[in-house]
Amino acid sequence: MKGTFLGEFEEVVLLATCVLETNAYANTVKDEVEKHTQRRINLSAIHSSLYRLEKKGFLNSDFGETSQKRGGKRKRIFKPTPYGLQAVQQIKEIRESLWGNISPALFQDI
Amino acid sequence: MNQPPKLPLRILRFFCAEHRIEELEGDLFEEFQDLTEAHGIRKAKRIFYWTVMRSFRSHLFDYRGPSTHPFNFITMIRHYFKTAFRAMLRYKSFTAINLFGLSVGLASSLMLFLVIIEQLRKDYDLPEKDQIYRVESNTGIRPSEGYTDRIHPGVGPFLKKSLPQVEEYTILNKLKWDVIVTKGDKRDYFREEFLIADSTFFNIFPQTFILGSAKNVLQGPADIVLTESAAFKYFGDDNPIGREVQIVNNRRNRFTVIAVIKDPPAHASIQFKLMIAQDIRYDITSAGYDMTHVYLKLAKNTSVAELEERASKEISSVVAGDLMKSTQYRFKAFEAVKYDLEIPSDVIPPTDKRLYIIFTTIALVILVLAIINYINLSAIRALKRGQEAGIRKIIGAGRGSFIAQFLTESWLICFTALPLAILMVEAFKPYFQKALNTSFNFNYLTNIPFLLSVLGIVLIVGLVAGLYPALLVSQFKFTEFIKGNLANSHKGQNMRRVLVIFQFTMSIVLIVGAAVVQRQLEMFQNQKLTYNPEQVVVLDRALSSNFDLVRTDLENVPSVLTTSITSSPPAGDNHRFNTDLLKLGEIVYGHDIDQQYAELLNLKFVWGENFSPEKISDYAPTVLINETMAKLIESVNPKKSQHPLEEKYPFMMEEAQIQGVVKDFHLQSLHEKIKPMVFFYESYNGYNGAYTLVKINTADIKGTLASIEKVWDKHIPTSAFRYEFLDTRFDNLYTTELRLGKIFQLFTGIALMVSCLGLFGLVSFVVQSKIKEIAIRKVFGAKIIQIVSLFLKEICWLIVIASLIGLPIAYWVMSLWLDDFAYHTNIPMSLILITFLGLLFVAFITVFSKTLKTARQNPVEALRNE
Repeated sequence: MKGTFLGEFEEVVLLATCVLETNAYANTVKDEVEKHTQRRINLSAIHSSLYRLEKKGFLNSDFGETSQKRGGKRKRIFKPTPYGLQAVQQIKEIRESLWGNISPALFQDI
Repeated sequence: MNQPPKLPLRILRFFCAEHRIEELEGDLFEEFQDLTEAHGIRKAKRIFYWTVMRSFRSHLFDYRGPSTHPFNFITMIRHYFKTAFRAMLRYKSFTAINLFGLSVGLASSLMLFLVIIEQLRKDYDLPEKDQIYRVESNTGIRPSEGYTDRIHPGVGPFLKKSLPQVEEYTILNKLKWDVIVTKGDKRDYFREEFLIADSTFFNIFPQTFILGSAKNVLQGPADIVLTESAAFKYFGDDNPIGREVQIVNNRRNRFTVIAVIKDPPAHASIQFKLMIAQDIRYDITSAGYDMTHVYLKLAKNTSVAELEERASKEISSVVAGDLMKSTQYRFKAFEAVKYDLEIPSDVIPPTDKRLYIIFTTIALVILVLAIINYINLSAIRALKRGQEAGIRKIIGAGRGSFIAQFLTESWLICFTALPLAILMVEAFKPYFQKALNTSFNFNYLTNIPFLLSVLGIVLIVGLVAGLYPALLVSQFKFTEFIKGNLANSHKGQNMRRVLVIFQFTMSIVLIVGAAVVQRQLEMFQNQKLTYNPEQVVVLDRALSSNFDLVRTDLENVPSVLTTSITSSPPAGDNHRFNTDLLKLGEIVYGHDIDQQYAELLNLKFVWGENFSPEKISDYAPTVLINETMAKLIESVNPKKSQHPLEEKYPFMMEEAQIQGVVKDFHLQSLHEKIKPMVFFYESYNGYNGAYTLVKINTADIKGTLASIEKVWDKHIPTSAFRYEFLDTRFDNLYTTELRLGKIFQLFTGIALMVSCLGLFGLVSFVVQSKIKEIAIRKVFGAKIIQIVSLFLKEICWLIVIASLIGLPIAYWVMSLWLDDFAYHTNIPMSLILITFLGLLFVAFITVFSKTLKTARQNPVEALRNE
């Protein structure tokens, strides 16, 4: 189905929200992604994909608590939907089944 | 806590969708704190700026639902358009009136601007045209004759030689001649415009050469340069170079084609078909000379006044004779020559600048009338839509939103009117070109600057039209809106009245203007001529010794009444001649006529008698004079005689007796006073070139003309038969006025229509808002006529006031215009009265048609309608 396609960066962001469980908002997601991918990422890029994932139905969101560090503004906490979870799982299965068929000899030269 | 920079946040808040701003701001703030801790405040700030900049992505603009976001302009504009469309559709007749009025206004101003642009574009590609000047001279002996542009050709080369500021000169003459092209035994005649110039012409007025080059043309006296169209006409696709072209009426008559140039473009002032070289003597010291037009190209930044003085001095130092020595010279800029009606150039036919000023004024007036219509109707309709406005105000609409709403509406109408206007322009362009006798070569639809300025004008028109209703409506308190019908409100009523008065004042001025122009034109056409110009055919000038034969044979044609042969038929050139010997102190004009001239033009003799061929003798020459001349002679009386008319005067080389005095008659346009005239007898050998006047019986014009042509071809086969009726010749003298008349008629009609449409719209809204009042009056027994007169009274007042303002203005303006004519019509009171009553009548009809329907309605319908 068109519009439900997961891009590489989106997949990473979606997985990061899974990792963070109840504390997934833009800043933590950014830190998580940066930590795992070793890439510098701009906050706005995270925002953009979070909102897009929400629009596509992979994420749900709600307002979280506020803090002084945030200048009194509430955060938006993102949570994967069952559909989102199913999607990442599916991707994982596809990859694993592919990996199962790759001969390990291929990687000897690296 | 460290504060992030304020400016990017503010920008972000301004653009960001409302439901996103809190979380985005929080995230940014939190990140800023983290970054400050990690990298220090400076880097944090830098990254902050960068992040905000990068945040302009689709999620930022995810505007949703009804929002009060101030920059939610797309939603608001959508809303403005929606309500504007709804309103336009709801009040269809109102929209139609506005749309029509504005498109007519835009179309007429567009059309007139096209005319003006066409004029402004004249010679736009002529290089360094501000350095080109025409030389004019004034003889010191007769300064009252004024400056003339027909001067000694030697002036050109002499000035170039003696004054370093004169970079180039050219000597020009323009004439119409018959061209004969022989192909086998077939001879074709063409009447063409010739430019006689020397080769320096191309240095001042460059032309594009197709065959040949500027370097070696116009050197020999037998060289001829053809324009592309002439070459094609004469020789088709054959190579014209080296071919022979003959010219009738000229002392040189065989020419060889040496070059072909592109036709002068339509926007060039100097138009011609063929070019030949000057073959006259340029010697400045010779007193006898051919009249020519001399154009100079001066060096950049030359002080013209200084140069004029030096030129006059230098020339006077070399020439011979008192007349030449006392001649003063001046230079007139090329741009000024194009509008110079005082000394009209043969080479560059001048245009009347005032015509363009009048055009612009009328265009603006019509546009203003259309805008006023719009303002009036929108204002009153806006009040009718008061409840809508009231609700808007309750929800929190401010002044800005009202203004935006009205501006959207007026711009919407204006931009719908623009394509309609362009369609109208395209539809009426042919008529307009014919009426003005011009062609529009400027392709405005592909000219970006022109289109942009038109868009700009439309924007301004929309702004002007929409602003007043917006300001009017936003003045009300919302309770006033909710309470009821604002259309009855007196607010803005005076303004509306003033605007209507203004409209009718303009209409009155235009109507009176059109009527007066028309009267003057009628006077031109029905001027008291002693003869009927529709009855007189003028045969074109020819050189021949056979005129006597032509005359005799023509008189044998049964439908020809009389013929006469003359040097200058009425409505043509006047030959002025040397008056020094006469000592009358005024310029005197002379014509060569024959014995039948007086009879043909039905001239009355107040003294003496006509020429009779039997009595004419070369030893005792006689002349006829007109009354004006007779009065001049009697008042000056140079011979101090008891009977001045019986004396001999040196009208010619020798003294001549006055044979008779004819009653004054018009030979010229009515712009000019009747001049002192002397008529010389010429039996017509025809070697000076002569015109034939033929008075015919108008019963069978076609047949008569055919018989005349037969006679002509028999006796003068070398010249083509060309004729013109005398009334056309007179009309040609008044082309400016005739065009003005046509324009005035057309645009007065448009202006009146626009004004009446406005009145119609206005009245219909007033009537609608008073529908209950009318019903109640009817219930109480008011008659239809009483109800109608209720509305008429108001309109009547407006028109009376408009007349009181407009009629004196019209009277004053048109008197100024009429003063230009030596013989002019008056502005009768009856005209003013008719204008007033006519306008009243038209307004009454407008009001009547609208009110009658309402007045006749069953009052129940109106009252029940709650």
